Amino acid sequence: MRCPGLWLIAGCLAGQDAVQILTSRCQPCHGPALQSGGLRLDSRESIQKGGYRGPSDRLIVKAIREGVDGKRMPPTGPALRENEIVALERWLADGYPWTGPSRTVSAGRSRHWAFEPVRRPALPSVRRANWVRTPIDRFILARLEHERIEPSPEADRPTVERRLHLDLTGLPPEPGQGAHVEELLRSPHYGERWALPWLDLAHYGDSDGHEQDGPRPHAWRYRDWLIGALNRNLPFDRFTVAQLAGDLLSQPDYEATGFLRSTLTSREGGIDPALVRDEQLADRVSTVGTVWLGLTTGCARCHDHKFDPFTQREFYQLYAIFNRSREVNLDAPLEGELARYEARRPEYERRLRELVGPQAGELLPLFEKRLWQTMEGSLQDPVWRIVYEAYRVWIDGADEILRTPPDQRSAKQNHALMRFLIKSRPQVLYDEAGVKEDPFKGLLPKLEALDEAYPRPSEIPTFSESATAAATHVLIRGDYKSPGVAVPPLLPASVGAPSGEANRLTLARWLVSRENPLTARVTVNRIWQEFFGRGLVPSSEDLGKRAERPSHPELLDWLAAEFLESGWNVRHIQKLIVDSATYRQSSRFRPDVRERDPDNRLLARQSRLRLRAELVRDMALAASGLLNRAVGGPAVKPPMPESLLSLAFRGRWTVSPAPERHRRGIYVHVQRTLMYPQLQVFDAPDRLVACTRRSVSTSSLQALTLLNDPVFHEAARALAGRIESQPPADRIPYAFQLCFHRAPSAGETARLHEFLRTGSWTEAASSLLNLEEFIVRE
Amino acid sequence: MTRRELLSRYALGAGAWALDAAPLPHAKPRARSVIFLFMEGGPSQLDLLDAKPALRKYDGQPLPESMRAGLRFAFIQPGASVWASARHFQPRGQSGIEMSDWMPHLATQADRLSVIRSMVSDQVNHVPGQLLLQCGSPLPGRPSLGAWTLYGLGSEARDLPGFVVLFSGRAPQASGGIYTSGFLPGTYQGTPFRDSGDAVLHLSNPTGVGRADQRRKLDLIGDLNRQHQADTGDPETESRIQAYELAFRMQAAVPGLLDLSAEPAEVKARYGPGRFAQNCLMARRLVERGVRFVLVSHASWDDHADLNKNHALNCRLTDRPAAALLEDLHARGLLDSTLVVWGGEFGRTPLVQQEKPGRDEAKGRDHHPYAFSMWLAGGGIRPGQVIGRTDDFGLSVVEDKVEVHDLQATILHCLGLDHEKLTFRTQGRDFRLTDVGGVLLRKLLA
Repeated sequence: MRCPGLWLIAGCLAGQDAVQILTSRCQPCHGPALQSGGLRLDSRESIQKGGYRGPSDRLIVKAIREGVDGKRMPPTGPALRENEIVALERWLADGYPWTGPSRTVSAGRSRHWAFEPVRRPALPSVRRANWVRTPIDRFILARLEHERIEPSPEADRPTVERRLHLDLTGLPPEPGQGAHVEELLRSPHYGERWALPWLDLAHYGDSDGHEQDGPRPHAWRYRDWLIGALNRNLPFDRFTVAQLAGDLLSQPDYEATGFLRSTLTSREGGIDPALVRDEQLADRVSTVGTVWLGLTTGCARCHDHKFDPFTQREFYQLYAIFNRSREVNLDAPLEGELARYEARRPEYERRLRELVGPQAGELLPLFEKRLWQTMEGSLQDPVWRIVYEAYRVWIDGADEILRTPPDQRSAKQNHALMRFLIKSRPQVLYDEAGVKEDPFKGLLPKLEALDEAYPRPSEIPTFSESATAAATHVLIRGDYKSPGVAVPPLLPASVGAPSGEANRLTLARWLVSRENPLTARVTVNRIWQEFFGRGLVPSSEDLGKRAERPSHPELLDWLAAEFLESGWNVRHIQKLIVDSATYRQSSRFRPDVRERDPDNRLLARQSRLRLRAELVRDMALAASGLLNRAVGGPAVKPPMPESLLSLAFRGRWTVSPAPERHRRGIYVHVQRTLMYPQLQVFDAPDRLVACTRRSVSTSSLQALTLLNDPVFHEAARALAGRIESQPPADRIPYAFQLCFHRAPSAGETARLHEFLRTGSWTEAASSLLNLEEFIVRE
Repeated sequence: MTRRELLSRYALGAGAWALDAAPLPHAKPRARSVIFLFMEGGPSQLDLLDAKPALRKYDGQPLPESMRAGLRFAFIQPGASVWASARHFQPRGQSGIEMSDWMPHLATQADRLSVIRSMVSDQVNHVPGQLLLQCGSPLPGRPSLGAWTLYGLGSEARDLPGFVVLFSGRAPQASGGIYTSGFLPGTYQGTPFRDSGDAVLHLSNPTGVGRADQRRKLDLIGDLNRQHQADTGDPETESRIQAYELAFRMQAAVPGLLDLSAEPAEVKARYGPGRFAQNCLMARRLVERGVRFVLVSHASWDDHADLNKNHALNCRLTDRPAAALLEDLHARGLLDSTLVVWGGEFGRTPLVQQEKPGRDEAKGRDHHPYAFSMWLAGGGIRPGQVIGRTDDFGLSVVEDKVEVHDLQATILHCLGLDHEKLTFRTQGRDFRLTDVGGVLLRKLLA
């Protein structure tokens, strides 16, 4: 820069000092390597642009002199001297002319194997080519040969048959039944089996999750969609788009968007609706990060993190995409539902009138007037404010109801308003209306029971895109009460997404575009995990920089390439796996490789896998012949011990009628604060956040459950009945066929015979249900 | 597999049973077990442990404007009226710790415990507040204090769960959230003992199956498991066999544990009547048998209305048993190795919440996370102290602020665990109980 006069020379010198201070004292945290608070101080433009708190030219001196949020800059080393601060101040006031080396402001895309484009590697050559059944085997065998380890022989036929049945349908084969891969893939139970891990990702629940944990009576519509989509083998790209943006398609698919409606809700008294909204949006961002990108976003919610590709700004740009959508429930009666509902409606309304009495009708006009005035701000009464806030927390679409004239409201809206009156029983209203006795005391449970007896036609939980969405801000330290700079809805550039305003549809399409290499890798890794108990990258939720490298990087990429080129065909990948020699190996332990490969990452054998919680239930019901094989429909409630209900804050559990009680585990009602104990004991996750892999524990509570839970006791009795229907000589072999799909050994037969000399078949059957083999996929 | 993963995979039983050898203390443990007396709903520190005579001067008047900045309550507005406590406080024991006349029995133990008057939480509602206190985060899904303790130390109980939960009153609002294993393996979860039916779920055999039948059955299961194990070669089958053996031992041990008839009459009398009293006695019996963590929940102290009546009742139900527990542990030489913690997720406001104007007896107090009291006693604690000070209104802490994470770090420290080293990797990062906080409260330590 030219300095034509003395004064300006002084200015330039101050400028050099200022840049020097910024370089040495600020840039370590606000420079090219790290942008703490989203802030870079290494060029004129970056100062102007500022960080998450907005333009930084005014904030710099404030941060140095007084500190921001109690933190004075620089946080380490000696404080700046007064003359240094003055130089900075002067330079900033002069418009901060930059004299030193200036860097361009651009977030460089992080380099990491998972972010590289998917390229199909060449198939490795192997010596034992005759062992190879599908290309997968070449990758596994090449590595084993390199390590000089022999693969295991193929498991015997019954073992492979049971393995295929359990892995593809989650149900054991019937005695004498073979295993035909194509047939199993087309079974209606295939969708049930493969919905299980996906429901963990969606963190599906039939209740709100927090405190009151109210019911979500329509959530199952999403589960039905999911099972159906898997059974149709809907290509994974369309599967993705439907779940993230089905409502925005030209041919809308509303049911699918239930995926994003699984986030928790709180209806606790006094809670700030903005907090609930923030939690939901953050959960949606992190779910998409985990499920499709295999990246953790948890850190980025509060700050930039050097290991995460996502910056905090990018986190809130994604958040902004979801912030444009409002939750709505669409009336979507199933076949026959509406007619049945209309036919019973007069009866329902008569019983409702009898129950509620005339007083609700008389109180309602004043009640809604006060709510409306509080909403509009013309009434500033603290007690009414509390009532109104509770109303907003409890009633979906609360303000919309108030804004709709009473005669134009739907029956559902009117009912919601009346129900809230009965629930809240506001003293302030009674006082104003001169009501002496609380007319609604004890009414709510009766009203709930009545509503349950006359179910409304089903609805689909989905979204509606709002044109005039609230602006999204970066939230400083992730605190919803500390908004920083406003951000537009954008895709994450740090993992290579294109720029330009985005919505859920563009997000979904980018996730399954060729430009994004993560989705294919993450998805095939999770599919692999289901068949071997562990992904090629063990941390299936995180393929980022902190993840272990894949055990077989080329295989992961080969599968990802195959997945893309097959048109995102999930079943194609599954078939490649189950047809492979690798998959079909015996799971017998290999003492020879135990030291070198304790976790079986090289796959010199199959792994023995404890069945997931739902399948433990299914196994017992199927072997005993009790299983109700109906597919789809609302959740069912098997008997729940009384003592557990009393422990829940608000326990309500109406046991389903007899045939429903024997449905598969996937249909058991997910009450998030009161998980069905058998599922919980066998490590089912709590469905609060997306879970990509379950822990596997062995416990005495599991033993007590299989021994004494009435469900398993009932199964044992039924299994005994099934066995005893056979001629005595066939009973033991038949029992082994039902439970383990194999013949008993001579030793096993002898031991059972011995037991049966005094013990009953019910006790013997119960013992078989309790064997480790019963709940293990060999 | 890391050592931790190995431990978790081989951990046995509900809450890591005996075989989960876990020699993990990072430092010399001062306490072997914890009894956490969880006062659900938030007891009023102003009526129990933190006397504020200055409030009398302002009683019935709105809070001065200058005091209102930054206050946010769950229900009332910061401009609500001040409500002075009607309780009578006096110094107790040699230490002179002030306690109110609602805690006459605890007063006799004043020299065995230390009070923290400067607890703060950042959660104004019950569920997040309870989760923060018990699990270190207001969001659900994190392991509870008891689960972290078991994960770190395992259990010494041969035939009982290592982490037991006892309830009196209604269920806590955060339900199972306060004893969950979160993302830790399910073995570390607390086992609730129930008051009706089986104390432990599915503990009793089905009708008609006696203990001898069960033994024969378990022998069959064990033999067949071992025969199959000879084929698979899987060493982990042994864990399942042991899990059954432990279940069998528990079936025998729990009824004996629950049978209080062998306790001397004077001991039972000291605890007094009621469910909470029984639970305190049970907690001592559990700790005696090597149980690592006992969470005793009493609900609810959430008196937005009728506080004087309801708090008085809660004190009648809990004061004598809590004092008896300290006395009993001391008499048996267990107090030195047992850390006892008393407190709720927050305290209550010095401002009145009054929904029925004119009815003075219906007055209550709202949630107050900005300054509340707890007490601790036993293993690792230097007794007879009052830690921290609040302002004249009891609105905020003016000395020795103790965050919830600080308390948790201190509890773990007493057990010989370093809260920064006790971590578990999930969702792509290392998690710990105290998140990014936690400063040891050294003043409290012996």
